[in-house]
Amino acid sequence: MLWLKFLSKFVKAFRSGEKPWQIAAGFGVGFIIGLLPTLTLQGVLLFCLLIFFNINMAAGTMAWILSNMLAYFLDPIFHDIGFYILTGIPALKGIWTSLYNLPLAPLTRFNNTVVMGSFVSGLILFFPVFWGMKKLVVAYREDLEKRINKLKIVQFIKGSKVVQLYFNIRDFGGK
Amino acid sequence: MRKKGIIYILVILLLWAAFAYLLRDSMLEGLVEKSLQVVAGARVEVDNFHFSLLNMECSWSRLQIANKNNPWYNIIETGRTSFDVETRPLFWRKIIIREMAVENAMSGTKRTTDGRIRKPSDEKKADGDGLVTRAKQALEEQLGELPVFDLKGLSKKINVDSLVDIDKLASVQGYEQLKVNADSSLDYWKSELQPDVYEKRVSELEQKVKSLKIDGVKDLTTLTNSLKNLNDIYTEVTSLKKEVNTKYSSVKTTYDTLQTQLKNMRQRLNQDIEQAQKLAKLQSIDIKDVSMLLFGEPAVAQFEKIMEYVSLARKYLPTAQKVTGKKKEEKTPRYRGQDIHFPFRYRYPEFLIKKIKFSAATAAGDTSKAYFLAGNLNGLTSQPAVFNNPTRFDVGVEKIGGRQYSILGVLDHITDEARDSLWLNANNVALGKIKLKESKYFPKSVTANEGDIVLSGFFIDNAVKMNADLDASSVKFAFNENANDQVSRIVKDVLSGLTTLNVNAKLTGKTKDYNLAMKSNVDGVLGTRIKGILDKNLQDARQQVDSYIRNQVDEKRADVENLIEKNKQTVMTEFENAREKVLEKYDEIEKKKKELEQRIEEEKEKLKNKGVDALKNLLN
Repeated sequence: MLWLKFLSKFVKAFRSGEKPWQIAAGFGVGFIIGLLPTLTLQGVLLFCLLIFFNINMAAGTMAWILSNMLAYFLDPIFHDIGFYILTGIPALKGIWTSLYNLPLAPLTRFNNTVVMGSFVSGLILFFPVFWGMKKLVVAYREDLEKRINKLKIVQFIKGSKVVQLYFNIRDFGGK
Repeated sequence: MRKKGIIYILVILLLWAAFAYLLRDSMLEGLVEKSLQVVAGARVEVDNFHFSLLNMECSWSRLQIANKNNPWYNIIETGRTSFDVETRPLFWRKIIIREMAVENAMSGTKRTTDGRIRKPSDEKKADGDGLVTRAKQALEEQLGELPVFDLKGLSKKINVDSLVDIDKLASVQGYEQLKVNADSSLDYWKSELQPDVYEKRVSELEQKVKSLKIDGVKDLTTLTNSLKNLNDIYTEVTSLKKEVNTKYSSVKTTYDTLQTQLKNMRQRLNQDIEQAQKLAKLQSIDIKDVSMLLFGEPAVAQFEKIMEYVSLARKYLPTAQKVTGKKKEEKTPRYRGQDIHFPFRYRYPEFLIKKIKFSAATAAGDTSKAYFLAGNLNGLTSQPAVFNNPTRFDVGVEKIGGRQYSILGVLDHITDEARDSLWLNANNVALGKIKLKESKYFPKSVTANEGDIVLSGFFIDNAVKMNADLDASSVKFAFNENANDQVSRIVKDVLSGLTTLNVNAKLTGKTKDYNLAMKSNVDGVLGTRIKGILDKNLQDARQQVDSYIRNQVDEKRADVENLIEKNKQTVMTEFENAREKVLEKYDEIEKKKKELEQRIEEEKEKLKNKGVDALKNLLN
């Protein structure tokens, strides 16, 4: 039931007193962690960011789960991106060689194509994800919730048992 | 900052650290035991394992490795052992041990529990590169080829039939081939000769000469025409003479060749006899064989033991070729990505102990019998090619009473080709009782109370070069009590008088061709004395083989000789007859030709005189 709790917290966060950037930042960090294929040093550091800083952990956890599922399909693309970054850019070879000889480098697994590809993709995607999530939270709080609720289809769905379940989940931790 | 989060993390970390601190030693102890059990094939027990994360140091108070062949005893038991691990390589999962100190190592200590591992070990005897197997085979063959010294056996009738197949002897097969050649030569020359053809051609020439009717011719013109025709006949008979002479000399050459081949067969027969004598182990005794017969087997056993250790070292310290050969081309596993490797400036092998200092003792409990070992081993690694330095070891072994050994070794597996060297020096060692090859005439063992051994061995890939010198004093040979024959008495007499023994053994070879050469101070004295007796018996036995094979082959030889002679006579007689007729006709025609030429000359003279007379009359 843990995931339900996270889902409830995530939905609640949209309407909570937390600032939109906090929710968006949590979502963005969780998104990068979820894209990484394995436990790496950078993944642990990002996880520490999520815990130490005042950003929304529920959003981070939700993003982690979602991006992890997404990464499953995107791994071949990450491999190609990582392969290009590691081998296709001669100018970077010196940096990679120096990094490869650093004691901490094996913990980052930076020389793995999927790790490199997913991390770089995660960093690039962080900004649009952050921006999009922030916009979504703001919009949701302003009038999106009301407009959604007014839709006939929503009225209809609200009566259905499935949506009752949604409300149950939403109110799981108290309204 | 979220204080609550930091506290959470700190609590988790502290719990993990406390858990690891309390359990790390027992966990690592289990891991070490398991890993060593795989290598040893028997139970391994480590007591009081301790790992200090702060100093990166490991130690244990006792390590027992059971002997897999005798599981109630330990093959090795160490006292306190400590070593420190380099931190930096651990980031790359490489274990580099700076220095390991092993104290009080002992072998052959009794165990309180059974050291057997129930799961049978599938580890085969170490002979990774087949060096021992190939050398063993070659040396066993060499020892097996040594002559026998069984006087009774030598005097017995030898069953040569069981040793050799007469029909398959090179000489017999040669005679068979000559027989075929003789038959085919006869057929060929008979077809070439065709006596009727020559007779016909001679009578044709005769007819031609008769048809010229030279005797009745009177005038010069007819005589000249007749000479012209006779010259044509002469050319024909000359060509016939040439043809018959050529063929005649060819026939002669053919049969001369056959007879030469026949003579050569005697050489082959000698080789066959020699081979049969070899199969019956009836080789003449060579002085160097004495050392080989006496000390060959124990020497080979010692050399094999050394080569087994070399093979073992090669198995666990693979060469560059083996290390790189195992690496398959890295495929790209989907979704797991591919690890791209960049130039790595550190030469960290997977596992390396830079230095091991050890001290040990054998025969625990009884110091008077114990050997005390102390030594260093440098550069023990799983990847010598990466470490780029050979593994070196030096061990000093001492026993109370002054016996001393020193062993020095270099195992160089850096390149594709393994290059190992070993030096051993043993001073004042008691060689004890050495079992010799079982023989009716020679001693069954030799005991030496004191001796020095110097051994050096070089192993480059499949090539071996080993040299061992043994100088023993207070030597005593133990003889077979039942042996009382002449040879045994001589051997006993000679060897009983010996107090020192100097043996030199050399093993050299490559791939499949290994050779052991031995010499000792026994060779001269013993070799010369027994050679005389053995050679006489040997000669008799050899004579048996010689006569039997010679008799068998002689029948075949006589058949072929007769056949060739008969064929030669037949062909030569016919050829000589034909040749005679041709030559006779040639002489006859030549004579006729000369006569005709004479007559023409005379007729010319007559005409000339007539002409002169007529001219004179005219002028007068």
